[in-house]
Formats: sequence, structure tokens, C-alpha cells
Amino acid sequence: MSGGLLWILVAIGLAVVVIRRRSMAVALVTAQALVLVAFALYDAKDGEDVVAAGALAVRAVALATLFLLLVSRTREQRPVHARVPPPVRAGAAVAFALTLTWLVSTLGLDSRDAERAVLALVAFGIVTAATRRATLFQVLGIVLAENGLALAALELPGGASLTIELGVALDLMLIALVAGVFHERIFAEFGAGDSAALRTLRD
Amino acid sequence: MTGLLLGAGLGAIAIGGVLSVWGKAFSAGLWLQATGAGGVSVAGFWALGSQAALGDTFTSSFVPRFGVDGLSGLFLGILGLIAAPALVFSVRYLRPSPTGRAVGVLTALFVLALALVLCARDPVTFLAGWESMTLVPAVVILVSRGADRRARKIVFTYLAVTHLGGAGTWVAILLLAHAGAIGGHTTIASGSGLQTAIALSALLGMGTKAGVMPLHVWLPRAHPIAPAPVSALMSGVMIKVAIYGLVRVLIDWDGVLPVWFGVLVLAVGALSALGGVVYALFEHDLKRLLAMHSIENVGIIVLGIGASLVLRARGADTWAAFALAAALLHCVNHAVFKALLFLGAGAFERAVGSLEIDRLGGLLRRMPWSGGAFLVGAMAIAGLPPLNGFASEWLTLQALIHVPRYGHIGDGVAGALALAALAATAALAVFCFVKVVGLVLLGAPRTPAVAAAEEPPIPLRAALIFLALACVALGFAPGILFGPLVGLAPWSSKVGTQLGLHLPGTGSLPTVGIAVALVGLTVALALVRGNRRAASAPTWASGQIVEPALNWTSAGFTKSLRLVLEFVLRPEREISSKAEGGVLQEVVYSGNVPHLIEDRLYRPVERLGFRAAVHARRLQSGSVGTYVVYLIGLVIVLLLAVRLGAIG
Repeated sequence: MSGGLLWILVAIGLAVVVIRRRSMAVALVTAQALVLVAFALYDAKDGEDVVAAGALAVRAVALATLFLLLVSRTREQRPVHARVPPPVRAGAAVAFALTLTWLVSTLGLDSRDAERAVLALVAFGIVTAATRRATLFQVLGIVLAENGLALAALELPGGASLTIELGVALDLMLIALVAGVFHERIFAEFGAGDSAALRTLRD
Repeated sequence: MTGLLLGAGLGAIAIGGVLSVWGKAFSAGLWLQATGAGGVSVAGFWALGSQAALGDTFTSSFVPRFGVDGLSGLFLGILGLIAAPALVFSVRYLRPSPTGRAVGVLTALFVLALALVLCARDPVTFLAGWESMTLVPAVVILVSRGADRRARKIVFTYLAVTHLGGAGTWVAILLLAHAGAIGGHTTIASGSGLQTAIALSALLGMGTKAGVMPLHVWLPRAHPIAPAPVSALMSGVMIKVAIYGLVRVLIDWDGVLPVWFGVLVLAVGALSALGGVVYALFEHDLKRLLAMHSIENVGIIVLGIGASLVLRARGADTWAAFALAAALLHCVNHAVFKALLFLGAGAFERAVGSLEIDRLGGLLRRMPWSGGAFLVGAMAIAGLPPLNGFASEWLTLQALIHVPRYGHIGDGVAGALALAALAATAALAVFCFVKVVGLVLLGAPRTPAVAAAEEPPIPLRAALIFLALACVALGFAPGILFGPLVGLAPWSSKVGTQLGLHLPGTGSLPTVGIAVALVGLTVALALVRGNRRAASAPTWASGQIVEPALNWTSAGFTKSLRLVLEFVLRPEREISSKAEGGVLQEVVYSGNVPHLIEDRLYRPVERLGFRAAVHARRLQSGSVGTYVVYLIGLVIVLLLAVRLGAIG
């Protein structure tokens, strides 16, 4: 994958970290996945690679549909206040990405640039899940990290791995479905998709 | 042919499990499962007899592999032999309600999980099967007991203990895989730290699953609350599969273990055998009593394994193979009579609604087929000739006698103590089952429900009678299995196949002769007795009206032993009386024999755990974000450790 495309993926990831609106974040994460799909199709060498790209596309569209459905079913008066302001989130995400890049000497991918991009996406995803209170953003953080893993699968020597793509797709669909149910229940109970409300349930 | 039969059997169990989901095909599904189990049994015993390996051989790599050899054939044989009658029993024991159908499916899953452990030829499949066979019965109990809070607590204890202890299984298998020793392809140096770590981990992990003392706490809780066919599978097969794992690791893969480890295994076996039977004596619930006897019998099996390890370390290969064969033969025998007793208890519970020993009585007259089969099982577990329990206990006794003969003074003393423990266990088992037979099968019924008890439907009776006949057949001709079992020792040992047990230098055990003599004696006594009957006479009860409350009770029957062992058992009892106008109106007695291991070992650990939990709770903020931060911290620490070369 070219350096420019990797930078675009990382930039989209960083935008998800700082963005305020849920629907925009869903659009960004989906766009990121579709960029990966496009590259997977462009780089496909045999039928298995095309099926892997298809799996990636199906999960991107299915997740986008699910998330947008959740957004429309749980309209909030105002966005849930993030516990950490956007500049601090961005700083933490970049710092974590750099730390991971320093700690992990190699992932065995085709290029070091791709490895850095993968680590950055995973770091951004984890930071999003850790610093956002809105339940949907926490799930989107996981999807962002999984996009990083999908990029790693595409950059493996020998090309995309159907096993990894199918595994990631199944994994994510399951997580998203469970999280979606939880999000709706939290919204129904507390009037907002705010995971901080769960603290009141602690013994 | 064997592979085809095994595959067909397992396939039939899977299809039968799926069919059990539909109400209309419920019975057909269970019958199909039973037929499949029968096929698995035949294939397993055939593999044992032919000693031929099928499919893949063992590998230390993490790639799924499946196969069968003589040892796994034996345990597959046991699995099918017990599962087939248990599933026939289920046909009328379970109802085609949603709960019954769920239990029907889960039973198939349980049998398949057990088969997975036995057919696994790589670490990953073995561990996956191992975990599945732990989890499936937990689900069965939860499904069958519904919202029963006590059952949920028991399942929690079961899962907690078996998973904590079971970590030893993971450690042992992964260490073996790391050393490339699964399947014995690499020889582990005798007396090395690695060998000791593997052996101790296996004893801890697999011993917990087998229910050896002091790791047994889950067993007397979990086994009795499962539906009877699943109890039969848990006590009859699941704990034997744990023994299979123990034999694989200690005998097949971990090299020749040092003598001290064999002595440790002997000590664990003696503790389990004696502890199990002693606590069984003071149980008042029939299924709990049977569960305690499972601990006793696992102790006897472990004694055989311990004797084999000591004798092998001393170079007495022939007797080491005999001791191993004794342990494996007792696995078969215990599976058969314990499944019979659990299914019998299930039939009684179905007819009477209770298994409290003091509220039964006279069931042999009211349920002659079920009661008669239960009587055979009780005699077999008590080790009475000519039944199967006697043959394998005799064989274990012979193996223990030979431990001092080949060893030094230290292991000689250990062997002698183990021998004394086994002898005491056998005697106490007879005492216990005299109590069970006397209070459950004989005498007058103590409640109207018992007086109205009737025989269960034919499938239930057929399952009991089949297992009772198996007890007789295995007691009559144990030598048919003994030869192939001796051949399972990884060092070469062979004996000829006969009906009885022929051991060099012991005088052997002529089981056929004993059976003929006993049958002849019985016939002679019957002829001498002729048509005479004992004249009935009124019972003298110090002038009181004779009523069921004056009958022997479980506590009364065992009082003499309780008094003798008072200094060890520390029994608790409370007597309260109510008087009005100086006249005694009521005396209430309650007694309990606390389980010392639970009180002295587990309670302090539990208290310590709760204290630690109070501190650990501070980490539990209830914030998802905080938990993610913990994970980030952990990942960074691990990556840092890799970067600095501390791990990896």
C-alpha cells in the first residue's frame, strides 16, 4: 500500500478520536473500511483474495447499517460529554501510537510504514474506547482497532488472508450486536447512551 | 472397520442429539444416541483387544489430530458401555418438555466432549475437549434445576474448583508440548525439574477433575444434583476420563518418575479411598453417599497407579504392568457399578420422590427388578465375590503387596500403609452398603410414598438389568480384560487371556471356581431350607407401639463407628427437648459429621480470598474506560518485557 493511502487511513483514524457527532464517526470508520476494501480488490491475486475483500466489504456495510440504525433509534438531546477534551484525546492517541511503534520492533508485514499505520490505528481505537463515555463511541473504538488488524491482514507477505478477514468480520459482528443491545438498554434506562451511568449500578 | 464403527457411532450420537430437540422425535433421538453409544463401546473395546492404532499418532504441534489406540479404546469402550444404558434410561426418565429436550441434546454433547478428549491427538484438541467436558455438565445442571439458587451456587463451586485446579492440566500439557514429549517422542530426563513440574501439575489438574482428596470438594456437591443419567455419566465416565489423562501423562509421556512421586500418589490414593468411604458412611442422602463412594473408588484406582509408578521406578516391570492393569480394570468396574447405582437411585427417586435414606425402606419388595439390580450394584461396590468390584480390588491388593517386595524400606512402609488403607476401605465399604441395603431395600416402608412405589417403565428397568449383568459378567471373567490391560503398559508386558486372574507367585484368583462354589452353596442352602419359612413373632419394643420411627436410622447404624472415630471426625450433635408441666413432650436430635478438609483447608482459603477481594474491589470502578486503561497498561508492560528481553 502506498504511503499516501496509509496516511489517509491514519488521518481518518485520528479524526474518529476527536470527532463529536456519532453519525460522522460511523461514516469515517466505514469510509476507512471501504478504502481497505478498495485496496484489497486492487491488490487481489486470486479468488480467495476477492472473497476476503468481499467479507471486509460486507462487514463494513453491515456495521454501518447497524450503527446508523442505533443512532436513529436513540436520538439524544445533546451529545454525551466526553470525559477528556479532544486535544488531550488526540495527544494521548498519538503518544500511545508512538509508544507502541517504539515497543514493537516488527510485525512481519510487507513494509515498516504499514506496520506503523497498523499500530497507530490500534492505538487510536483503544484510546477512543478508553476516553469516550458514549457507548457507541466505545464500540467504534473497537471497530477502528479492528480496521488496523484488517490492514495488517492485507499487508501480510503473500497477500490478504481470508481466514483473518472472516474471523475479524465474525468477531466484530458479534461484538457490535451485543454492544448494540447494551446501548439500547442503557439508553432506555438512563435516557442517554452514556456508559458512565453504569457506575451507579456498582454495589 | 473399527474406525468406521467409531465414526458411525459418534455420528449417530450427534444426529440423535439434534433429533432430541423436536418433541415428536425426542424418544427416537435418545434411542439413536444409545445405539451410537453402543457402537462406540464395541469399537473402543475392539481397539483395546487388537491394540492397533487408528488415525493419527500423538503430536506436540498445535494442529488438530484425531486417532485411537489401545488406551483410548479402553476408555471409549467404557464411555459407550455406560452411555448406552444411561441414554436408554433417559428415554422414559426425561420428559419431552423444553427442559427434557435440552437435557437430551446436552447429554449428546457431553458424550461427544468426552469422546473428543479420548480421540484427541494434539494439545489443542485435548484441552478443548477437557474444558468442554467440564462446562457441559454445568449447563445440564443449570438447565435441569431452573431457578434453584442452591444449584447455581453448587455449579459455581464446581466450575471454580475444577477451573482453578484444572490449570494444572493446562500447565502439564503445554509443558509436555513445549518439550515435544506428547506421544513420548522425546524422553524427559528422569528426576529433572521439568519432569517433576509436569507430574505435579498433572496430579493437581487431573486429580481435581478425578475428584481425589483433598481436591474433591466439587464432586459430592455436583454429581447428586444432575439428572440421574447425567450423574451416571459424570461419576461413571467423566472422572475416568480424568484418570485417562493422568495415565497418559504419568505413565506414557513423562518418563520414569522417581520413587518419591509414586509414594505421593499412593498417599493421595489412600487418603481418597479412606476419606471417601468414611464420609460416605455418614451421608443420609443416597446420591451424595454414592458420590462420596466415587471419591473412595477413585482413591483405589489412584492406589493402583501409585503402585505401578513405584514398582516401575524399582525396575519391577511385570508387577508395574499388573498394578496399572488393576487400576484400569477398576476404572471399568467402577464405571459399571456406579452407573448402575446412580441410575437405580434415579429410579427410586422417580418412584418415591426422595432419596433420604431414613425415609425409604422395603423397596426390594415393591420394585423387585430395580431393587434387585441395585442390590447387585451394592454388592459389587462393596467388593463382594463373585462380582466385578472384588476382582479389581483383589488385583490392586496384590499389586500393593508386591510394593514392599521390590522396594527399599521407605517405599515398603508406604506400600504397607497403602495396603492397610485399602483393606480398611474394603471393610468400611461393606459396612456402608449393609446400611444402604438394609435401610433402602429391606425392612418396612417408612412413608406412604414408599409403600406405593412401583416398578419404573421397561427402558429404565432394562438399563439397570443390563448393568447388573455386566457386573456379574466382569466378576465372572475379569481375565478377558486383564490380558489386554497389561499390554497397555508402554514397557512390554504380556500375559495370556483367561477367564480368571492368573498372577505368577500369588495363587491367582479362580473367579469361575468361586462363582460355581457360591452358586452351588446357595442352591444347597435353598434345598436344605425347602419350604420352611421363619415364624413371624411380634417385635419387643419396651412396651411401646412398634412404628416406623423406631426402625434403624442411618445415624443409628453408624453410631458405633462415629464414636470410635470421634477424635478424628469431630462430629457435632444437638439435642433439644420440650417439656410442659414437668412432662417431656418432645426431643429433637440433630447430628452432623463436618468435612474436616473443607473446614480446615478450604474455609481459611475462602476467608483469605474474601479479604483479598475487598482490596481488589478498589480496582473495580465500574467504568469501561478505566478497564480499557488497565488493558493498555498490561499490554505496555508485556511489550516492554519483550523489548527488554525479559520474555519471548
